[in-house]
This record gives sequence, structure tokens and C-alpha cells, in this order.
Amino acid sequence: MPVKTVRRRYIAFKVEGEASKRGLEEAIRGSVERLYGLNGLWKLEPTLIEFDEHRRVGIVRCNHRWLPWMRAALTAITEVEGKPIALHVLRVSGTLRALRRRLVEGEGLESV
Amino acid sequence: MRRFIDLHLRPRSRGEMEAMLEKALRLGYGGVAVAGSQTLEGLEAPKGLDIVSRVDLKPKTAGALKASLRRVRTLYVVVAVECRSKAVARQAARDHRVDVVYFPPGSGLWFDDAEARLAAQTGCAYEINLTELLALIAGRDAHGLRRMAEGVWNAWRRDVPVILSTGASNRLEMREPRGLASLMTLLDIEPEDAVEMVSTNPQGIIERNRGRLSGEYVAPGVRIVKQGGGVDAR
Repeated sequence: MPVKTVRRRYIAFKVEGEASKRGLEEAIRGSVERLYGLNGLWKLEPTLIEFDEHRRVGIVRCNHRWLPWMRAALTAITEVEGKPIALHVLRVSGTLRALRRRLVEGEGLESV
Repeated sequence: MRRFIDLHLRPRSRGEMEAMLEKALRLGYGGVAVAGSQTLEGLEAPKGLDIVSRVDLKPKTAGALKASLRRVRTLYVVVAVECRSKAVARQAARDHRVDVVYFPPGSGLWFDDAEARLAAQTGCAYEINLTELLALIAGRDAHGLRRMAEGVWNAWRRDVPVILSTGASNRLEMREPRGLASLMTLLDIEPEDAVEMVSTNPQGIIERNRGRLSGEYVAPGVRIVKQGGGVDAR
């Protein structure tokens, strides 16, 4: 019987500056591709799960093996749609549920 | 618990400096070094953040570097040298008074093996600034990245500490310490090793230099342990 071997990591991040969900999605994929190429893009599988434009907090999913690489790609983002921004990772979790719970509890760099 | 240090902030105004210090604390840093024209006098440090003074020397010749070092060494905790010529880079690496060397992109220089050998003897560290790394990434400068990676490999081979700093001049250029460390994956550095570059390595420089400036320091390897009592010659 086939066993599911792909494990995910969910990364909550805070955006400093103005950004839309669409622009952010493109910026994240663009950053991964710029740093690691097409090969990196399929390995990391970056997916923006959600982005609250009001609180400027988002969650991105990636393959668990490539978490530091994903983190680097987020750190390397300096602008979205021509506007300067900075991304700061708040929390990392293996499940979306745990991550959301921790964000509600206020753990992480919430006030950044 | 690990203590993160950003050894290179260069705010352009007093207001920006205070905002950056507040932000450094929120991002999880336990210490920062502030360079630039802003003085730390009268500054109320955010609680829990250790602030040290730093000077960035940008000499054009080796002679100018020596003259600057005579003037500033006892005034700042961290003395860094921006290397824009080979002669300056060599002099900086062989001088005990220099703590950190860094190579701005576009200088055509990098931390080569000869540099690393000299730095290993004097305890000088090699610094990589996030702003410079991001400029290389934005410019898709593979050659520049390769030179940066070679600098890190040379430093490692010779046991020279590598420091990873933001080099931020405003709040948007600051990044959280683990994110900063993760960027080293781009230079094939393991994440655990990269974390040392933003914690243990800069902390070592600060502790060493605070000891040197404390008044007990005499020369490398020599310090005053105890003051002797006066001898009555009568």
C-alpha cells in the first residue's frame, strides 16, 4: 500500500509594508525561482494558503525538507509590486491547525 | 538560550536609530552594534537589548587605515574596515586592532586565502552584510555570490569567524535572525552553522573587546590580573 511521504511545513509570516495577496503570491514564487530556479520551485512547492491584508499576516506552505530554503526565499523578498516590504517569520508548524491556534494565542513576533 | 546579535546597524538619523533598536528587540535580537554618525550618548536602550558602538573605517590606503586605528581603537567596541583595495584588506587582516573586515560589492575584492591566513592570526572576523547579499541576488550576480561563498569557505578553512549582519540603514532592511541565517543556504552553509554567525561569533567579538577596553588589557595574551602594592624603598 502506498505511504504518503510528503510532509509539509506551514510558515506564518508578518508583512511590513503594503502588499496584496496576489502580489505577495507572485513575489514568493518569484523569490524561490530567483534563488533556486525551476528545480527549487517544484521541490519547495511554495503555496500561499492565506493572507490577511488587514493584519498583514500570512501563511505559506512548503515541503518540510526545504524549510530553511523557504525561509531564505521569504527573507530575500524586498518589494511587492514595486513597493518596498520586509517579511518576518512568526511561527513554523507541521499542521495548519496548530499554527492558527498559536497565532491566536499571540505566540511569535506578533507585534513586529 | 541562544542570544542573537546584529553587529551592523547604520541608521541615518537619531529617530530612525531609536525605531530600529525597538524593532531589533521585537525581532528577537539580544544585542546590536550601531555604526554611522549617530552617537549613543544619552540614548535610552530598550530593556533587554545590549547596544555597543561600532565604527566603519573606509580608508583609501594602508597608511590611512593605521592612522585611523590609532585614533578610534579605544573609542569603539567594534572596529570594522570596509576593504576597497587589496593593500587596505591585507593591512586590516594583519592588524590586531581590527575586529571585522567586509568587502562591498563592486570592489572586485573578496576574502581570499591569503587574507584568511592573516586574519586567523589576529582574530579578525569576516563579515557578510544582508544588504550586500540582497543586492547580489537582485542583480542576479552569480559571480559575486560565488566570491562571497569562496570568502566563507576560506574563512572556515582557516578558522576565521564569519559574522552575518544586516547592515541595515532603515527598518525595512532589518530581518529576524533565523531568517537572516537561512539566507546562508544560498552559499551552501548548513542552517545550524549559519545560526552561529548571528549569535556566538559576534558575541565573542563583543566580549573580547569589552575585556580589552576594561583597563585590564595590556597586549594580546597579556592582561592585568592584580595590582601590586607599592614597595617602600626607604
